[in-house]
Amino acid sequence: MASNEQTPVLEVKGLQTSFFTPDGEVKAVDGVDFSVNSNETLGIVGESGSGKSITSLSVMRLIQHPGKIVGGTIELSGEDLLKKSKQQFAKYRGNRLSMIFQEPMTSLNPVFTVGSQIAEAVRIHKKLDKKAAWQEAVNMLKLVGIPAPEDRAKRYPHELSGGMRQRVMIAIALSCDPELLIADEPTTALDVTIQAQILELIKELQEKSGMAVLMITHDLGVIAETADKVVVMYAGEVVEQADVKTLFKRPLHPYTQGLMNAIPRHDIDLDELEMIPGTVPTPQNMPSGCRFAERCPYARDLCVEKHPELATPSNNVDEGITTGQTRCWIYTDEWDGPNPTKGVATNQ
Amino acid sequence: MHIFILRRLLQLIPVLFGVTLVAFLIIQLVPGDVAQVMAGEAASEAQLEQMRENLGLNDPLVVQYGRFLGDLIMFDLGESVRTGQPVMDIIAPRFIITVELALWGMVVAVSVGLFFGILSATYRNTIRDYGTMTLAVVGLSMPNFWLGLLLIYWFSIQLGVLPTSGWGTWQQVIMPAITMGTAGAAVIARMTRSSMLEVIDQDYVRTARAKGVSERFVVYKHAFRNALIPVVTVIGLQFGYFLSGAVLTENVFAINGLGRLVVDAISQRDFPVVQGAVIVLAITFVFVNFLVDIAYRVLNKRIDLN
Amino acid sequence: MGSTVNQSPGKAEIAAPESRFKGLMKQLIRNKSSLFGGIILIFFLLIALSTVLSQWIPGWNFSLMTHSPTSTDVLNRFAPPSADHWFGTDQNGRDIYSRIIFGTHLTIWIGTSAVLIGAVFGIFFGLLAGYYGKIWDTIIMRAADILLAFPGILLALAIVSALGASMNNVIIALSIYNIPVFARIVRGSVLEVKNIEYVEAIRALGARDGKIIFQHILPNVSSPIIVQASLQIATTILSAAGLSFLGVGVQPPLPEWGAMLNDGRSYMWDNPHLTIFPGIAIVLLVLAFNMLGDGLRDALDPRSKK
Repeated sequence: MASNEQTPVLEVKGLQTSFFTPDGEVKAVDGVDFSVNSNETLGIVGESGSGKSITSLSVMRLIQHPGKIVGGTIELSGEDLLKKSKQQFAKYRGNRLSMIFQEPMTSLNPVFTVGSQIAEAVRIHKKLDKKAAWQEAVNMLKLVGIPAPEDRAKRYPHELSGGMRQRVMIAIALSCDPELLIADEPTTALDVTIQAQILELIKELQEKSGMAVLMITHDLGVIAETADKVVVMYAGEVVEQADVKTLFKRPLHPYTQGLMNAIPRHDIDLDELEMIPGTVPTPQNMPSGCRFAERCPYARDLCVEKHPELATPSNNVDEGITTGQTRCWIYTDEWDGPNPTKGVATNQ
Repeated sequence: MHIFILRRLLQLIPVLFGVTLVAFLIIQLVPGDVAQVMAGEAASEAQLEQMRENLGLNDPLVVQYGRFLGDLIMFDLGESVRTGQPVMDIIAPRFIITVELALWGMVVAVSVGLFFGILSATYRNTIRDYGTMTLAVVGLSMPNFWLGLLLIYWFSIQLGVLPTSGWGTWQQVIMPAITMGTAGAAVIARMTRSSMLEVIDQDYVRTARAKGVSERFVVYKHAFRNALIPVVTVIGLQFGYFLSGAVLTENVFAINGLGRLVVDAISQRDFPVVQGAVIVLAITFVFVNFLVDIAYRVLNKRIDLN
Repeated sequence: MGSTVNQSPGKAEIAAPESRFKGLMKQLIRNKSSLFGGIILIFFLLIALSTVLSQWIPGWNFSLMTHSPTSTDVLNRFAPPSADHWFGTDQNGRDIYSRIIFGTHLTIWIGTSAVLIGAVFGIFFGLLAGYYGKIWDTIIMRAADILLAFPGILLALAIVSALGASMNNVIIALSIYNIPVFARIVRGSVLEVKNIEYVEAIRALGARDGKIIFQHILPNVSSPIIVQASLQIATTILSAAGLSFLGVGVQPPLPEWGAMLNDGRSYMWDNPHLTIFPGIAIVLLVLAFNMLGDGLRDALDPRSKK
């Protein structure tokens, strides 16, 4: 918790991203705030459709037509990225902030060697000549733990395994020493053993460079392993926000609790594995009250009628327990009665 | 790869065989006495017999075809019934002109087609895209010989800046090349557009943007290089159509290529020449397609993710 | 991201035929390309119909012609467009407008009949190759390869040169040219459909081949056939016009548009209207079929992109 007063590497405030379809505006991200400091990992967790990937693409300004960032600010070390012109921002992208994606199989261009794809990023941002950039590419391959990097640099993506390709993606992303790395489901497409290796690698490289990491995932296991702070997203909103220990000790929001119960655990029989019934509401028919109410086992009329705010709990919290913030009526003074979730879902 | 090439080469054999058979049989379609048709009504019985003798028309069909094939392997396509010259000697210089014409047509088709295809894809669903694609479908619907006539009317008759006919100088190349290339440009532009649109949403294009690659390089380097692969096939096929399109273009601009030769030979009922020219054009087409297949395979090897 | 349920595109969707037809019409009207193409096409079809009906029903004259398309007027040669002769007159003083109107039904007849005949044979051979496979497949597809080895109008040119120049021979030649095109498409679609579950299930239940082919396979391969037919009519009209332009197609005095262009080119220096109007007619009609074909493809083929 030493990070309170320094300028965050990334600070997102009130981010709103919409898609303008023939059927009208679809709010995929609706007022999201969070911040990450250097040397810190912020996990953003949620199901598909929660808006977590759109959030990360918004930070990179990679939202394509018909999508558009319609509100909020995104500050990188105090500079508002949304105020930069396209040309100015292109100088930052891949340089001061960079991103790795879910699908290592398709995220590399099949017609160029992996070495040239790393060298391209280096050449754009560091103004090196071809030879020096290539050398840098080989060094990066070595750094991300690829054996025989001189030889591998000359290979095409299809000649490498999925894990290797994700390492190459990391090499590209880190080739210019970014202040911020966004990892969007970096291990989802990989085997379990490779997943651990990749996460380990990101952590190791973070320790070396001190960069901030934004880890986007649907997997709380990944969060537990990598994150310092966690943002839980649901239907385009942040529903809970806490540091990782607090979150796992005392998840507040019924949705977070549901996610926790969905993690396979060795001590629980698979049959008892609890999933959250239902799906994320589509942005086209977003409920006016709490967006989770439809799937929430504790929902009351209040929840269906009024939209809760993200706030520090003022009700129904045990004495002496630190909590983050949540967007749930249970923890407000308007909720009368005991906390129905009490003792339901904890993950000690 | 070598095995692939070898297998494709082996597959060519029956096709080449079939092409020669079809070209050979075409004479059999001629109603009535071929010798009479070729020699004309005024020919005497002795002249007809002489012609039958020369062309071996008295032998059974199988023997005729065997001889035809045997000669063909020795690059002997027989003699013209009009001039008595070996067909091969008549065809060779004209074949070169036709290939030149087709290549110039390709230059127009590929450069114009790729340019407009990329333009259309980058400005997808804008006025530029719609305009370009409308132009393309009109280009596709225009008879190339009519376009040639319009060009002659405008540039030769009205403006007087380009010669109406002939082949050799650069001025003589311009209008035939445009005439040949327009429909091809339209096909290539349409193909390039749809291929680019398929590629532009790929993950690796997003990766390129995430690296900070400028939008222009994203389009021309990362997207285009991948989009080009299916376009190569279309370009190759177009070359074949240019060989046949040359028949009309050469006719419009009075270019002494193979296509004009075919038409002249038809009107003179000079069937050995028609046969020879058709075989040469078809075999060229088959080999061009073979090369395109190989090129596609080479280019596609990297793409093939599994 | 969103893991939507993947429906196998277009297959297995068995909607009631009427609603399917209605849905298709709706899509075609909403698509600007096919709407525009459809309107021009209906316009040309009405012209053709008026000519045909006027020939068939004695005493009735629905015709849109202002003059006889063949009667000459030596005193009124090369008249420019005027109130009496809307598109002017030709080298024999014949009314170009009336000739174009009369030529409409010829062009549509050649284009549709050659495609229809080609499609019928092509579908037959394609079904044979795709459904029964094995030796049928090898023979038929090899034969298709051979015919397709003659690029563009070359095959039709060769056939017509042997059969002799006439409208029926043009139709025969262009039909043969269309057969392998349809055979290939049908075979490909049959192979796709043959192995999907419901066909396999019906087969396992012991249904007869004829029943399977007509009730289950043909309806499912109809989409690509319809799309191709529309585009192929466009190509065929262009080829027919090309043959007539070369003088080996429809013969004068029949006012086929390509033949009219061939007539007019000699007088282009002073009288461009002889070449301009028939050319515009060809472009419009071919454009109509191309745009309709594009629209049909967008509507019927879920894999094609907007």
